[in-house]
Amino acid sequence: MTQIIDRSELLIALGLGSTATDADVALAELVIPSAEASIRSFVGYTITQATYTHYLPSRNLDYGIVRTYEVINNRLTVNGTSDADILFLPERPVRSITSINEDSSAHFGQGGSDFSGANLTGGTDYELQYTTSGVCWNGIVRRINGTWPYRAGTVKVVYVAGFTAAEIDAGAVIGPGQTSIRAFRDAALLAAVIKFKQHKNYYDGVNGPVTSERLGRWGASYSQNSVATMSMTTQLPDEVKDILQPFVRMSL
Amino acid sequence: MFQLNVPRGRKVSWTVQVEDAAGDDSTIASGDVVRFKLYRRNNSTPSLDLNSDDDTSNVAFTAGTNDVTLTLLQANTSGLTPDVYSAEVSVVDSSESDAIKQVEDGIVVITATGGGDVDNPA
Repeated sequence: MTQIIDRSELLIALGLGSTATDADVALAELVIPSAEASIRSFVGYTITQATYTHYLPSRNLDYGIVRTYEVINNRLTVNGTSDADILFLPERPVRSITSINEDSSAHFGQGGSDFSGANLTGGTDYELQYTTSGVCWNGIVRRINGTWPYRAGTVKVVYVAGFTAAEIDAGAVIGPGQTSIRAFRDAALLAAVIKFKQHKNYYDGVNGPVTSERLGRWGASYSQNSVATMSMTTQLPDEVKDILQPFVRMSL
Repeated sequence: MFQLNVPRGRKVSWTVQVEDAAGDDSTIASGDVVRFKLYRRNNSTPSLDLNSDDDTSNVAFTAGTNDVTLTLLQANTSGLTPDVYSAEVSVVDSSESDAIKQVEDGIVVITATGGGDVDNPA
C-alpha cells in the first residue's frame, strides 16, 4: 500500500533531520503505518490509489418488486426486479470504472460460470456520477434505462479509487467543496508526530498529564497511563479530525 | 544520517564518508560502484538514481579512500517539486558479487528558488 507520508518528512517535522538516532528512525517507521491506518479508518476509505473488485450489491436490495424463479446455468435462481438504479461503490473517491459485469444468477463470483457474459458499456448501460472531472466522491454508479439486480453479489465492478502519491504531494484541489487533498498528508504527518511523541514519552519514562496538584508544599500527581488514555487506536486527536472532517465519508 | 537543503535547479556538491556498520571507515575499491538515490515514500522509481559508472559528473570517489563526492547539477533538481526526499548512498561491492550495501542515509530537502534567467548574460 502506498504511504501517505515519507519517513523523512516525519523526522523533519520532529526536528530530527540530521540527529535522528537508529531508535528514532525505527520508531518513525513504526508509527507511520499506524498513524495512516488511523486516518484511513476515520475517513472510511483507503485514500491512496488502487484497483478494486467488488461484488454488489453487498446485500439483497429491500425494494425487489417482482420475484421470479428460474433455472439458469443448471442452478435454481431467485430473480426479480428492483427499482434501484444506483449502486454505491465502497471505496472513495472513485476515479474510473474498468469494467462492470451483470449476472443475475451469479454468487459473488464463486459460481462456475459467474459473469461469463459481456461487460456492460460505460455511457450506454451505466454512468459514474463524477463530482468533478475524474473524481466521483459519492461513489454512485447509475444504471441507464434500467435497474440493477436486487440480489446480492450479482454485479461485478472493477474500478480505480483513491489518489496517487503525486496528487497528494501536489495538493490537487479535487476534494469535496474544492478542498485540497494535501489535507491527507497534513493529517497523517500530524498524527504520526503525536504518535511518535506518545511512544517516545512512554518509553523514556515521561509522566502523563497532571491529574491533580496543590501549591502549599508543592505536589502534583501524573497519570500513569497517558498512552492508554490518549491512544489513537481508539480516538484521533481533535486537531487531526479537524483537518479530515471535510473528507469523512458520509454516504453508504 | 545527513540532512541537506538543496535549492531546486542549483548546483550543490558535498562529500560523505563511507563507514561500515560498526561506524569504522570502509575504503572503496576500484571495481566498486557508488550509487545515490533520491526518493519519496515506498515508491518503486526514485526521483534520482545516479551511479559512479554512468553519472561521473554526479558521483565520484577515489579508490582506496572512503571519500565520496556527490554533486547535484542544475538539471538534476530543476524538475523536482520542492519537498522532503529521502536519500541513500550505497556501495555495490565488487568483492562480494556486487552486493549492494547502504553506507549512508539521509534527507534532502529540495527548496524553492527564484524563477527567471540563470545564465551568465556577459
